[in-house]
Amino acid sequence: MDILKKFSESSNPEAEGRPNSGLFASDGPFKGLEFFTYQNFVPQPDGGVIVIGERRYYTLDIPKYVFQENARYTDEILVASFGNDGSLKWLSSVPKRQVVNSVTASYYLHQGKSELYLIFNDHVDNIEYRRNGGDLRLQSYSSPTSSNAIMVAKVSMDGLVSYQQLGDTSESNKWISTSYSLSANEENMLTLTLNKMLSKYTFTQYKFP
Amino acid sequence: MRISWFVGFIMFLPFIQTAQSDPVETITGEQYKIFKTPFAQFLEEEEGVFYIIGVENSAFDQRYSNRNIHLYKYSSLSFSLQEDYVIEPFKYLGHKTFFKKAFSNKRGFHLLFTCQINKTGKMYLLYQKLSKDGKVGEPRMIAEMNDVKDKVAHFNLHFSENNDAILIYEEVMEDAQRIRLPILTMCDQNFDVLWKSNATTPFKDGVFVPTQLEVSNAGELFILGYGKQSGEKNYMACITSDYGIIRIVGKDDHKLFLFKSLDKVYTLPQSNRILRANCLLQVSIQILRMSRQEDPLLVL
Repeated sequence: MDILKKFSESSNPEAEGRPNSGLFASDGPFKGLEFFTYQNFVPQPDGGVIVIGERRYYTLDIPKYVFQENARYTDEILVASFGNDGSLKWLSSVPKRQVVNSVTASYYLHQGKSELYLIFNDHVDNIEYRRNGGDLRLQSYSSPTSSNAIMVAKVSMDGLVSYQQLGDTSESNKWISTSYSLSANEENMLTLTLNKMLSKYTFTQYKFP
Repeated sequence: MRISWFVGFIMFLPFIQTAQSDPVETITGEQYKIFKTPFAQFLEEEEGVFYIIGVENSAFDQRYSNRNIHLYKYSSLSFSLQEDYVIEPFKYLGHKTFFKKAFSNKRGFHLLFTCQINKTGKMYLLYQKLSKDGKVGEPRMIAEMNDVKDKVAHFNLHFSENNDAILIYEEVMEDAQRIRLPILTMCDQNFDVLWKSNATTPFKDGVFVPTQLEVSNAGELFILGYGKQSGEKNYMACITSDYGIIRIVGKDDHKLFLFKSLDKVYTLPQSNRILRANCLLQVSIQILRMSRQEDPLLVL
């Protein structure tokens, strides 16, 4: 039951001095682990496993900029690493906020040589937040037509998270299709992007170190 | 005066944006190409080429019936189109078919189609083998649903991590509140049916949504997923060889049932939200362990 205790402790971000917008979205109405959907399980060479989940929920409280009958949120990503004995090694959070029903929602997992890359569409105003953290409030990525940034959260094997903007960083009108991506190996990823300036879909290839 | 200030600001804007970005470059080599061929999905990238499936005159998420399908072969280096194989549509029992999904594993490429016949109220899932030079095999039916006329019905597909097992589960919306008991069909990597579930399985109290499959060295399949009831998700794991199932039920009543022997009920000492997710994680770890045949399932 040690793992339960650790998990309970980890779910209190303030107790660990983490920002409120961090673990388990303690600042939102749909807080708590029960709103997470776990979809990636990455076995580790030592017999452990890394589990990745995303907070997903629907509401009828629709923002003005969402032209749909309901709002589908795909928010914070949780990454938990368990050892071979089932003990929790570390737990990391990738805060994000998306309200969109399309192939651009959620995230795409690329497994690198020694890191995990979580790739998702973000609001450009969140770049500063990801660089410096602090009390900034996350802006919602709401549609492929607004100000977008393709963001990569690199998660190291000891749970450290760092961010990088993908592609031409002077562009704020390009999005990635998280539903239509393919990782052939640890170094290559193929995906579909839309360049709004060109109004064209493109095949895009990224090389990972 | 005001205009000149505005023009100056606009000219300076690109530099401001660049300064704001300044990423740490660890991912490099971005290249892109505008494409004009139809696109449905990427299929495989290997040995300097990648394959794409496209359906003529179709949008990404709208697949029209009876259209030509293309298998495109592109160079990974130049992104130039090398081959374009056309696969003509086929009819099943005299009815049009819809392309659903393409799939790649070590046995090659596979195409899946659906066909709905309103007169009989049936929906079929059809399979066709596809070679890398665009040759297709004879279509065959691998799953069917009954009484789906005027209902929202889907065949959902779930692939194991190493693509050597495929689970098909049927989802039929009987009305706005009720989803019919799903029938599960398990296939091997050639889409040959291994087994089908029936109404006596534990999946009788709501839809079951698999989220993870693992195949053990002994060939057993383990499924992790959740059931939806009244808007709540109850996570489950099951061993399909004997339909054993572990369930976490109720918001305030966290118990684990081993359906293989219903007398075994594991009552957990705490009852809170964290615990439920924790149980899921525990179970998933146990599944992964068991798939390596190291530890017995369920150690709590």
